[in-house]
Amino acid sequence: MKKRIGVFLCWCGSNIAEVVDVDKVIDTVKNYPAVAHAKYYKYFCSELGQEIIVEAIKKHKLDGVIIAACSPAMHEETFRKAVSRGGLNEYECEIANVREQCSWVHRMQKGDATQKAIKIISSMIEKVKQNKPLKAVSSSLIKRALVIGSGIAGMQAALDIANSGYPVMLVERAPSIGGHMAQLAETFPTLDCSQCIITPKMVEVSQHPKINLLTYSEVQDVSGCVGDFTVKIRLKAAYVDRKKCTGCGLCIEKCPVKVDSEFNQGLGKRKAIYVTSAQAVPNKPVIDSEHCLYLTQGKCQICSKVCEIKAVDYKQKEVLIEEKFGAIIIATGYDLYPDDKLGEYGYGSYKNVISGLEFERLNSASGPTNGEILRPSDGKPAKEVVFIQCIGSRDPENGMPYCSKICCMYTAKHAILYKRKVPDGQAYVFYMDIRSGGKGYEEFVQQGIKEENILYFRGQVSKIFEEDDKIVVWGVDTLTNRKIEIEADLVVLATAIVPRDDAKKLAKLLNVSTDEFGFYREAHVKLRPVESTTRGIFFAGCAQGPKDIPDTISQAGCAANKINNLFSQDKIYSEPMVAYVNEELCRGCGLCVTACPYDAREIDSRKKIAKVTEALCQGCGACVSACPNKACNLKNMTMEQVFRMIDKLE
Amino acid sequence: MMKNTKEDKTINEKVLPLQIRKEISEAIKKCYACSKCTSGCPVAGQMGFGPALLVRWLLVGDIEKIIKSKSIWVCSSCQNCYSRCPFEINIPHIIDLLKEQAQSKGIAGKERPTRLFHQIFLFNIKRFGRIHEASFIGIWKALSGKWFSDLGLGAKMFVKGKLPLFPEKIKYQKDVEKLFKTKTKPR
Repeated sequence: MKKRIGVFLCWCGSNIAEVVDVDKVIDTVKNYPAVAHAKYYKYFCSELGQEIIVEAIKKHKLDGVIIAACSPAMHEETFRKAVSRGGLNEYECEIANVREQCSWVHRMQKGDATQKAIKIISSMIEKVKQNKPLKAVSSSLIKRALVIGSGIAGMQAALDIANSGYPVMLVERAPSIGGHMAQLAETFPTLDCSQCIITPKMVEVSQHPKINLLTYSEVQDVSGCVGDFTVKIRLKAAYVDRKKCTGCGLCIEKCPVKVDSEFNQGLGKRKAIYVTSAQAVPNKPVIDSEHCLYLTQGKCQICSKVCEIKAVDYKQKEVLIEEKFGAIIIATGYDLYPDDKLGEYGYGSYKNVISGLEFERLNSASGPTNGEILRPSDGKPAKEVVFIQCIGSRDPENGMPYCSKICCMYTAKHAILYKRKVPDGQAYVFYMDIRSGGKGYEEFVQQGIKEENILYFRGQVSKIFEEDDKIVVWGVDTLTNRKIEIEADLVVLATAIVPRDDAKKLAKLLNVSTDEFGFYREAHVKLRPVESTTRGIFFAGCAQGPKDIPDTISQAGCAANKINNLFSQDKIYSEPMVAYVNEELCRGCGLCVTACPYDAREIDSRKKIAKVTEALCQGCGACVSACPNKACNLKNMTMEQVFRMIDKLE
Repeated sequence: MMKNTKEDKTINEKVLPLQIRKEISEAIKKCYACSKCTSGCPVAGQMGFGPALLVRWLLVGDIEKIIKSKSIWVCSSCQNCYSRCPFEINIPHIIDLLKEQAQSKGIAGKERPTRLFHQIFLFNIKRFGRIHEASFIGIWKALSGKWFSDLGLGAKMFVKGKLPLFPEKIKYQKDVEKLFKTKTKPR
């Protein structure tokens, strides 16, 4: 049956009409045999413009519509809705992009632009001729979310989802929640105590009836798609029955083994049976199987003996559980730039050269020195402290090319905190640039310079070495070209933020993409910054890129809101322009299965031919080009349609 | 400790008293090195280093270098840097303080003509209450030895009546003399 197609050319104010000769386009297109109606209007996206389309469909009995206007990314949805109001299947409507791909780029060649517009429209006519009415694919939806990582990002996201009434499972691989923020002393730019902000949130998370908290657990495997993910979670052996345990702490007190505390960045000691910190949530210990005397050498058992309720269980095994979720948030956070790459600055060789996070622990009232700034080597107070920024950041050759964003601010914070604790001390900062974008940030840095007399030198250091018990720092003030030599008590390195070392592994499990460093890649840098390339998986916090606490909180809230949006529907609806298989042509070679980046293809075990999981298919067409028998095709974008469209462009 | 800095008192105490050093360092620590002062300075090209670098050198503690430089003598005190500065750092005032110290301690640099010019200028004011161009030029030529510079310009000015032979009297001549006799507090 021959189709009756309507062409609607939008002026887009003067954006299109100024370059393209709209009268000529309409006159030419009108004469095509398939076109039953052609019209232009100033703004078809306006309410009035949409009414014109609706009425034309009814009046001229159109069964195909082409809107020649801006990019489909702008208004495809608007026009599809308008077309369906006219009583036509919405997938019979196509957009011919004559703005971004024609009038905007050919402003100087008006005649050619008109010809190009005609070609773009006539090529679209060929597509619409063979378009078939489609129905959106619907699939089931499990209204339960998984949040991986329980730093400030994960906790905030979990709380935001749970407070909307949907159940959340929060998975954390450390024994307690809180992440890096729990390690911080104070936060910029208000110098709020980090513990005071985060502890109430940690308690809220652990007590929320909708949040199921799994600490000391890791995600092992993920399968399925949006609305129906199946996730295997490994509960690591804690060797303590954490349901029985009351958290009295007697076992920790009596344990004879002392090892470096990860929470204190190695500046303090913990026992082999331990909780991360005094404020930890949940405040119940786990046994470190690598250092426990009983688990390594078969003797001791003191913790078991002192435990009155017999919660210690050396025979505990790790457990694998399987859970189902509708959506996932990745909030796995960041690592610090690896220690072994800091040899240039004497890190590792000299005890008094420490990283920013270690300085954070020195500053913390609950830290190894109870908040006093003492030198790690001899415990003497530090009277001269040198802070060096951009360690590993903005160094494409030897480190990371990106800016870690928070170092300028936390160095300013460190220097100010130091000056408040040691008023007669001197703080020096070596910097390349000061990047203090953010509310109140620039003022904070200036406050440090003016009120706390922190001396800033523009330039990187050239050499750091130990002389007697001082650390000598050589550098240059590039503004005066004056060589600077400082005999410091303590050197603090503002190390770069890097992705978790296993970020790429998790990305593979979840089938999301990462950038070249291992930060998770968003679906669109500007318009979809919290969505992954896989539907139903979202990001929050530093897993996606370096950011500070306010940004992390907003991103977590945004990701939670995206999930709430998803869960507010009864079913998952997705675009029906997916792949389909011509069963008579398919011979079941399986090439499409390997070609598919979304795990949407598999071989039907009974029929021995390929099939499509429509909910997973994104309509990318990789299988179409891989199929040797031409058995694969995309709905409303068949091979025949594409070739006919290309023919028209010649 | 940083070597050769403002903290290093042995060098700087001789050069600049603590009180003035404090006054200067309090004013300049606001500087964030935008160089707006140098870009607006009409004599920056002749100064050796402009006001921005001058402030920066003082900030990193090398006062001796600044006080012996010609920069402070070339400055024309036009106040352009002061009015352009985003933090209102009074650079001309700082330069005045440095000039004063350099002069009184006899540690000024070798920029003799500039200093001589300032001295003759002040002598002239003291004597007449305001500047008397003819005598000023005469003394300047005699002491600096630059007999033939700007002769053409001088002739033109003379023709236009810009170089009166006799000094003008001012009303409060006595007060000006008194001003010169007033002893300022030793810094």
